[in-house]
Amino acid sequence: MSEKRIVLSKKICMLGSFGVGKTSLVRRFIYDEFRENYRSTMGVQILQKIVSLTKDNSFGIKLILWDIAHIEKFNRVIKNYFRGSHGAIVVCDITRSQSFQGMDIYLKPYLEMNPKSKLIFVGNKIDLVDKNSFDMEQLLQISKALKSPFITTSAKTNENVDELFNKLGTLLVKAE
Amino acid sequence: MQSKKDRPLEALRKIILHEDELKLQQLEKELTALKEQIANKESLISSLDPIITDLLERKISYSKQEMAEALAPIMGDAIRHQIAEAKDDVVDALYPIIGKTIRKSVAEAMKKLVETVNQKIDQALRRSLFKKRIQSKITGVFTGELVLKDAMPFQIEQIFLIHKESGLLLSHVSSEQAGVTISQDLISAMLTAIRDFVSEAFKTDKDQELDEIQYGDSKILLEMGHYSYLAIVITGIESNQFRDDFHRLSRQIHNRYYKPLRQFDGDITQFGEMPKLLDRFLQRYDTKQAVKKPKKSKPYLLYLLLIILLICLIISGINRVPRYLVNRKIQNKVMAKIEAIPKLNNQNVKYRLSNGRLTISGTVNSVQQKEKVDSLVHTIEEIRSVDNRLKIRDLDAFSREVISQIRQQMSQSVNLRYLNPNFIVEDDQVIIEGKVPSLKTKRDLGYLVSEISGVNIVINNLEIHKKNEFSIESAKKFLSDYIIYFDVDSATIPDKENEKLDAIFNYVRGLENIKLVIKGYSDNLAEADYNLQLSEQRARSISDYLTAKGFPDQNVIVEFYGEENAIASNETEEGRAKNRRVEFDIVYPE
Repeated sequence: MSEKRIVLSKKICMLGSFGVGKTSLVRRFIYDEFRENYRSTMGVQILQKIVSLTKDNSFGIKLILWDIAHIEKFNRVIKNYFRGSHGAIVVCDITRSQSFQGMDIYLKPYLEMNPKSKLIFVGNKIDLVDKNSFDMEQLLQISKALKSPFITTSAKTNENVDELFNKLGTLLVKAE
Repeated sequence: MQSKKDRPLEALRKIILHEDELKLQQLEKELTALKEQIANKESLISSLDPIITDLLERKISYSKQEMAEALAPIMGDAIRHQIAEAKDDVVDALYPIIGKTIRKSVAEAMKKLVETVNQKIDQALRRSLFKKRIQSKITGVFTGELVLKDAMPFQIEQIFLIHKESGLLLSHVSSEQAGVTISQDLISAMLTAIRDFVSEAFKTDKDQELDEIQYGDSKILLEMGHYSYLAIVITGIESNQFRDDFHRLSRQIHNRYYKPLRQFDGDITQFGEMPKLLDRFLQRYDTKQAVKKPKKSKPYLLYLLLIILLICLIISGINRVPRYLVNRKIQNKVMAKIEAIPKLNNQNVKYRLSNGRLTISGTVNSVQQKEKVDSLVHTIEEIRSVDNRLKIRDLDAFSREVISQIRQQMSQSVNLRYLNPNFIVEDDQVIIEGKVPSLKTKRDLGYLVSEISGVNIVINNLEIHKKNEFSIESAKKFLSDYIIYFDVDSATIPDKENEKLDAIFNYVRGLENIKLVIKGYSDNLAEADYNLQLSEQRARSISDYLTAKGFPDQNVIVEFYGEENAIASNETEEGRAKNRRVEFDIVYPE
């Protein structure tokens, strides 16, 4: 297969509270693997993957994923990692409502630094709940208010993971 | 009862056995004494001590192996037990003996190593030192530096051009020798994360940056520009010239790609030509490649062709040389005339001479300059005609554009935004005049101007304020730009306001003999007394923050006004948010 021609390179931040599955989503997307017990991320972990933009795989967008550790009080070092970001994946654990209630801690400084950044809201760990019984109203409202798409995923069962990153890729290209 | 008959027998027995009985009694006494001695351990040890020592010595000297085998299991167990029970005691007991022995051994080994190294260096240097000394005299570089450079040849392994904000890789080149195993994009991002981390974690001044990372024999040198930075992985010892070249490369990139870098949004195709530029820089220092070039067989055919070509050139040149020499002479005259015109940048003027006809093109600053050029070249006898195509540059527009760019850049820098120096733009030269508080500010501003596209020469005539001369007005103006806002009913400084406070701290700590006035305010949501108290708490929070960072406590004046002096309407939430604030002012004590 011929190599994709990279036309864009974008910095993406993975945002979300502790243990929502940011690293799991990234590892599933990049290495197609899942572990039940990940160690929590220290500082920042950076990985990259190229997402195809065309059906024939001839063009691609390079996503540099900054998997940023969640800490209770975002400090300046962590804030610095947000700089120059083109997009963010805001991950919530749909089994824990606290994970999306405290979203402001990281989302506010992120948007202050990158007001034009594209966002995607993710309800992760969908495999753990009954899809019909889960109330996503709160998350939907937030994503609607910020004019950003919302998607439910499971890093464990690989549900919607590729779709998530492809969607982000398309969103970034459309913004160009 | 004994019979009469037994008496003689008894008497006889006494006579015969008397001595034996006495001996028996004596033996019984001794046996009892021995039993007592065995039962009493202390007494037994003191009795056996002189004998056992002697006995063991004899036994060890006659059958050492046998003794060792016999004692090993017991001693082993005893040592293991002792270590398990009281490790520290064992260490303490052994340290004076073992520590001393180890120290002695290490000292001896080091001594031998130093001697060996000295010998090797001496042998190696003796051969080349003479040559190096001569080289040192010629180049002015210290002999030691030349020797070290030889021992550790300099090589650029990789060059990364990285977008400063996002950490995205804009361009990358590497030498053939470089072992690249990790994606360069990840290296770029990680370097940026490290740079960000270091500058935040260890920052002492806003403008300090990480400029070098060393690992083993390699080094990563970082050169910061406004929108991008260069990271060069090198081995060996770099020269001072290299540092200058490295800085120049960064400036060159910024000058050439100013707009794409400023507006970069992930489109890496804009930097398609960048690898060539970086590669040229890499090749300039690619010493290893030069050394490692394989010897090829001599291309005799090529030599022959070159000789034929050379002969052809010589034949054709015989006719052309006189014409060339004449043209050259005329060109020198033209050049001398143009250079004599004041305030004209001769680099912007191009001329071509063909059969006595001079064509002049390029840009000059005024009609007068164009006419001056025209009249001067007409005085050269050899020129038959002049085609003057010089264009007049719109200096005002250019000057306005440059100054606007400088001001825009200054407004983005916390330390420079309050300054109001005078800029004089002359062609590609900018003269900066005015006063600044420190040498650092002078340098920073000079550097900022030099980075502006189209500026090649910066004359930095900025003067540094003498003590107390610094304008109180400019300090007040600077501080008036900073207002710290608080949440409803809170005196806790919101995280987002820390950056402003750091800027204020960096600014005021450089000022001498001043008092910083911190004024607290509130909205009108609660009772007036409560609001007054809250405004005091807000002002004190700010004071605590600044003094914790090192601003002298005695130079702070805390004032609080409650809901008074509102700067916005308290009728709306938006207005109230503006009133929940702390403002700053500065005074010189009487």
